Amino acid sequence: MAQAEPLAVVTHALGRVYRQRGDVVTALAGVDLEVRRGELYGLLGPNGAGKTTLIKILVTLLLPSSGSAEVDGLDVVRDHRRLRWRIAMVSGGESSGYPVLQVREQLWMFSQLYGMESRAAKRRIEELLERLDLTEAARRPVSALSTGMRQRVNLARGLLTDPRVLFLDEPTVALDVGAARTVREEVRRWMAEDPGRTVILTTHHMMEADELCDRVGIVSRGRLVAEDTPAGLKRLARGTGPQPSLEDAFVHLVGRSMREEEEASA
Amino acid sequence: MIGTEEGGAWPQLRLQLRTALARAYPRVRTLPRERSWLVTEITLPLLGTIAMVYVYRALQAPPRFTGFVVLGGSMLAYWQNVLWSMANQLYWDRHLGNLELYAISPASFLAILAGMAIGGMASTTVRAAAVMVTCSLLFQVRWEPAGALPAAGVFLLTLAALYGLGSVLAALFLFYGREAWHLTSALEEPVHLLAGFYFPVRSLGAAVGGAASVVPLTLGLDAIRQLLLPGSPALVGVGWEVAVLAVQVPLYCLAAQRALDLVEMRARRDGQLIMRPS
Repeated sequence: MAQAEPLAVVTHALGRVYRQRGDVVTALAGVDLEVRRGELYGLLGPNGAGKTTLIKILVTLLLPSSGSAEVDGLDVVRDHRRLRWRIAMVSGGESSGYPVLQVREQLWMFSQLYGMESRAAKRRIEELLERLDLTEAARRPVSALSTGMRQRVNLARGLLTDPRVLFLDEPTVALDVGAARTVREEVRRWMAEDPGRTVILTTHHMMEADELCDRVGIVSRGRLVAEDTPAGLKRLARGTGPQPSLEDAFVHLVGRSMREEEEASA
Repeated sequence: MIGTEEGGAWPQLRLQLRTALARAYPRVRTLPRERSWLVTEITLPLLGTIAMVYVYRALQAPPRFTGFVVLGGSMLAYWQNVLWSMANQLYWDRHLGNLELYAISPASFLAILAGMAIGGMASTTVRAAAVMVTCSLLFQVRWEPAGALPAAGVFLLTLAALYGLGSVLAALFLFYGREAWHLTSALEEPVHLLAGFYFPVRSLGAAVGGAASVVPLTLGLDAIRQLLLPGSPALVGVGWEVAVLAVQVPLYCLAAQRALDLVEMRARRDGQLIMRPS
């Protein structure tokens, strides 16, 4: 009997609380999530909803307080060392790396943290520089780059090792239209090259989620309150207007979830 | 997926070596690109050492004190490098967002720190050599030629132990967050005194000298002084000092590994320490 292909990401009742000066803050309250291989899955939610906490758990930076999570078939708690070979993360507004290094050098440095053979790394870097329209900037120090160029370099870093699962945490935040479009196009192209590649994207740009994502999960107050394709989510908000957008659906669903929660606690 | 997740000793060793060399790279590349270091890292320390020589001369100290100052002035560079560019570095890396990228990579923090050490040693050696050569020529210091080779051996052993200690400090400084800055200041000047940078540490007594031996420079410097300036007052014999340094190397490396594991576990549990502050 053929073995079922493992899901790219699966979480069961995933919870996370933070303890700060005696207070207990619940960031995630039992999230059940399944992301299929090859999917571009978007996570939407208001600020503080728990999206980034979820990502941090999945990339092994944080331990869950309860429940379980697997990425590419590996448990994020028990198998975190093996898992780290298979994932990469790019966050918006990153200023990682060392300002004194040139773009090409910076990418090479990060490639070595994954044990890439130096020549293979250099070939891959040239390929990514070209694809992200960074060839001319390759010899410029990272400190001299614009925000948009910097973020393209960050994306190149994320793609260097061709991870099985790529986590993009608000990758287009503060980018202009052109730079954001380049990032989106490259993500789409990268995924199209291999059906086994998976992307988990958090964003506040509804248009971006609508355009890129196969499915979208909406997180509010640490819970996954809705999940569907962008078109499916829009259908859920039909009563709100003639042609509801993803933003309408988002506002409708988050609002409904908050009301239900308040009614339940009243 | 590029790279390998194979276990086994060789792939792991290769990964950690590549990581160390990669992390050393920014340190080495900084040298020709940020030329201000020629002033801040060479000229100013050189002037400081020269000034100290003149202080001893004004006090009519024996000529070998010039040698003590030159040796101390050279070795001082490594302690400052360990404190400012290694112990503090993980804290700065956290603020840049590098630390979380290091944490989610398969590379170990110890390899990252080894890279910082290698890069730090390379850049600091330029400063140390500049002080050593310039002052030796300027003040006609007479070194014992026969002691040069063993002194070089002791020097390398001292650096290995010193940067091992630097790795322990890096983990501790990361743990204490913003207090790292104060810790660095607290460790800088007292160690200059206790380690006997400008005079034989025996002058402070055996108890203080013994306590100061926690910092490998104390013993290393004392041994090098004995080898290059025969007749210098010694804390203990060179053999003992080498033996203690040889124990300190693995001891500090193991302590650093343990401390880094604890920091990582605490970071994953508490959600701080490693992640870029928002």
